[in-house]
Amino acid sequence: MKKYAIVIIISIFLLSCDQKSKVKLTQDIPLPHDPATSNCTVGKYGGTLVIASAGEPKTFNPIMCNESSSSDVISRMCEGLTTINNKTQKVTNQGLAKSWKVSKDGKCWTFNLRKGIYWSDGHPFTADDVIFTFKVIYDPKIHPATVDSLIVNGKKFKVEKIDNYTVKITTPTIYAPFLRVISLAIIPKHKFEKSYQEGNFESAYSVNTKPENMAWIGSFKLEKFLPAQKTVLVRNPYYFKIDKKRNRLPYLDRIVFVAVPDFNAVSMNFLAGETDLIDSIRSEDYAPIKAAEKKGNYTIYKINYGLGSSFLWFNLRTDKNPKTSKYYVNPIKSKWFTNVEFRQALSHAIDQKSIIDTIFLGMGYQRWGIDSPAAKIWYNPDIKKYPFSLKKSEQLLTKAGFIKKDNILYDSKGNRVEFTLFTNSENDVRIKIANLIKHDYQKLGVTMHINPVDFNSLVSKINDTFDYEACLLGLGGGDIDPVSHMNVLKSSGFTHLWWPKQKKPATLWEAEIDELMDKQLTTLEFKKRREIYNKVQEIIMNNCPMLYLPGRTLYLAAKNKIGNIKPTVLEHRLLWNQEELYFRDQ
Amino acid sequence: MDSRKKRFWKYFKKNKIALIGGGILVILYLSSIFAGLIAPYGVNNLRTDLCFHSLSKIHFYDIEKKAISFPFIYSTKLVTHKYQRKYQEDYKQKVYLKFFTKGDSYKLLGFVPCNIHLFGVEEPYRIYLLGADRFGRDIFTRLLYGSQISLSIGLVGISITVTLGMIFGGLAGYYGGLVDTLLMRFCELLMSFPGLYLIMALRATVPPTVPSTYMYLLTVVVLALVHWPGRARVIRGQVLSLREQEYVIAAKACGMSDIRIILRHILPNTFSYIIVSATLAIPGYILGETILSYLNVGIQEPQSSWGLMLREAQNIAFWNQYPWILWPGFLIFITVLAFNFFGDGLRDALDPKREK
Repeated sequence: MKKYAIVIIISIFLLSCDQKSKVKLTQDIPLPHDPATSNCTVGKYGGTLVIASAGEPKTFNPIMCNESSSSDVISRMCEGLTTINNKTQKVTNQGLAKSWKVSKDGKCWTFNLRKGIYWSDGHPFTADDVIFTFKVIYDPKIHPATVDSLIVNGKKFKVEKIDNYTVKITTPTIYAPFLRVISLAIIPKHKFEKSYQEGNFESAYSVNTKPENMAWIGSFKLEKFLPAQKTVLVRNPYYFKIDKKRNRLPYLDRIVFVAVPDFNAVSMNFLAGETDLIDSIRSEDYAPIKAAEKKGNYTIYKINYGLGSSFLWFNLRTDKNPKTSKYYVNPIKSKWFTNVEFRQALSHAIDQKSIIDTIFLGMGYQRWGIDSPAAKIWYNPDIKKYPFSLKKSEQLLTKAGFIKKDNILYDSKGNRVEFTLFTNSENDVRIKIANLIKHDYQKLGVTMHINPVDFNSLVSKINDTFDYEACLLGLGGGDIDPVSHMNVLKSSGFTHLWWPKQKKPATLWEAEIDELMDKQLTTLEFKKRREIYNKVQEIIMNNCPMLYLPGRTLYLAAKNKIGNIKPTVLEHRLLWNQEELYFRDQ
Repeated sequence: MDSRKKRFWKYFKKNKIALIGGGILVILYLSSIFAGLIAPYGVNNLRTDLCFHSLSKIHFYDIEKKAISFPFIYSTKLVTHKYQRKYQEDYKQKVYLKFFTKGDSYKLLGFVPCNIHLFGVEEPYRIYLLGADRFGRDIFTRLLYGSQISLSIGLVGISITVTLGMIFGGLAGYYGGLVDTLLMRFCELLMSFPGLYLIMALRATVPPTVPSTYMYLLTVVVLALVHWPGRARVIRGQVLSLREQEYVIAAKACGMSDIRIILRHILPNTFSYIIVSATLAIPGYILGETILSYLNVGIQEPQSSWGLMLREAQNIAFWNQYPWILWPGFLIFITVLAFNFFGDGLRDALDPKREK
């Protein structure tokens, strides 16, 4: 009942949106000297794209945002020096730099910025903004999450201004994914400098900042933010991209993110025709949405493999907490967890097919390894896989010295094998998966307790207190390049989940991965780099620090009246080419 | 006393709705006691290949032989019809029902080990009287096992509430003065706790290795602890007037001890109120359990309770595709109504004014 009420309220409020003013096409602003040209189908101006979103922005600061409900909105309004074309998954020069040159030694990059382009408040964009952005990112007091991929072997890039429209960036060593990582959002110096100098950069561009006081360089700018209601973006009249007929992009007048309480409401709004696209259809919503495809005049797109992954891992720490001088993990259990055969046995005991059948209602794929098959150029199909087999799992456990008596598994010293798995209580799917795994493990004689806790306390367990035995979580997929796995794979990494921020690799295989990951970063030749990374994937799967769980088949939907829709697997699956989207004549 | 009982029956029997309510409750509680026997499967008997299987149709008429036959079901296979997953009957394969068949082991009445089930079919076929849930577990079975928790939670809870209410209310009302003030302020203190948050906080402190059964008991106790002050206040009010009655003064004059007077002369006079209010309060506990399980702080999988089962129905997309997941909601509705009708009937029959 409540949900219907919410839908009614939303629809009333959407109706009221129709009375909005037409956005003026400010053709009087001259086109930039060096515009970027899109070769999309020429569209027509006007229209508001409405999207329902179950979260809402917590900040509008492009550097400080670290969760998707903020970054989904912010990235609509930002641009980097380079951009990644989601469709081809390659770097293009459609960003703020129109061209670049690399020196012979492969370390020194010179970027030529576009001339005559402006921030949304009319302030000119120059090399100073780029220099300022890097200064902020490298500031140890701010330390944003993105900085990890911008540091090689502990050294920063050297960023210099040659003139107003030329920037030189020198990397400490050859850095293969350089052009990808440099696609980060550039921020306006004239807006952020004051708060940066006053030491409160983190709170700049907050949700309370007036939109008039913000400047953006992307195709849209913030018009208004109404907490718990909606976020409205309006076209940026200064945007630097044009179409084949030299019309200034974007075509759309506005993009509205309507805040809704949960994913039920997201799909109901779409079914009711109140939103124009849906970024991810849950398995349970697929049937009703697919059934109404013709009537609702929209198209469902299928993406076989997503980039994100979910997995189960054991706390592999063997050291003591220096404060309490107690072991983080009970040494008896630690002995099981650090035994590779134990981990492999438990991986064999996960019935991925039954998870797909029940949790994803048959719409999923069995997943092995850190890379999704969607990352075509990196995925290694020859890695070791752990198909469901209780027999294999029992063999491995016997080999590792475990004994099964009366349907209960004991280790060689007679300790009963049981442990507690943590997962986040907000995510019903994960709890259900955990229950299925528990059922599978029971057949092995392993008792697994499940403890759902809220996400924040889970994160503090994983990152700070380390007082857990096993955990089930997922990682969203950002980019396809191996550099996006750096912080997971390297033993010193912040998200090296099973034992983060190690001073020295705890095991030989972790040391080997460290070495290979550093090596692939400095290998420019793709074939060689791929070879090295294939090896990394193999080592991971042989040692099984993460027990992989199946992934969901992605379904997206967009109304047929929207032109230039190009769904992709990379994040912002439907909105990545927002400036090209337009409403067709009906 | 005997005539009073007769009169009560006379009035109660006249109230047909209350009788129906009572009858439903008897059936529900009986089936909950014999859940293991009636249910064809164990509470956590998964069949992941039969996810959201629809209701099995029991056939009594054999089309081929054109004759009435021993009850049977057809085997089913998964088909996708208009993008919806459906289990279609395969008319070639008949599966006859078996009565008093062997299956999952359970404990009859909680202590007699047993593996006889009232009915069932040969594996690998399954009979789903009320459909299957996401994991292919029989909803009928889980409803029965769930009723053990959902229905008993009210009884356990209300007995704690009433006991505490009578003790505190009786003492406060009878002695008055400082005792009254202290006890009643304490009650108010407890009443001002937001119960739901108290439970959630408690839940977080309980280690995960604690079995779900203890969690269940803890939930009931907390629910009861939050609810008793209200009851205590009403009883106190009644005791306040009762203690001025002549028979109480007479008892006092005879030198009876205070405790005896409270137990023998005062509290029995509040019984009719307590019985009625307890009956009417039980649905509150059943709904309370539903809310807690819905918020994932009550009973945990793989145990079953109606609230937990209803959690799956949070997803509106399922209502249309698999409407049978709403069964627990329907049962809660029926139970709450039955309790209210029954309680109403009790109140009418016990009402002293009716005797005129």
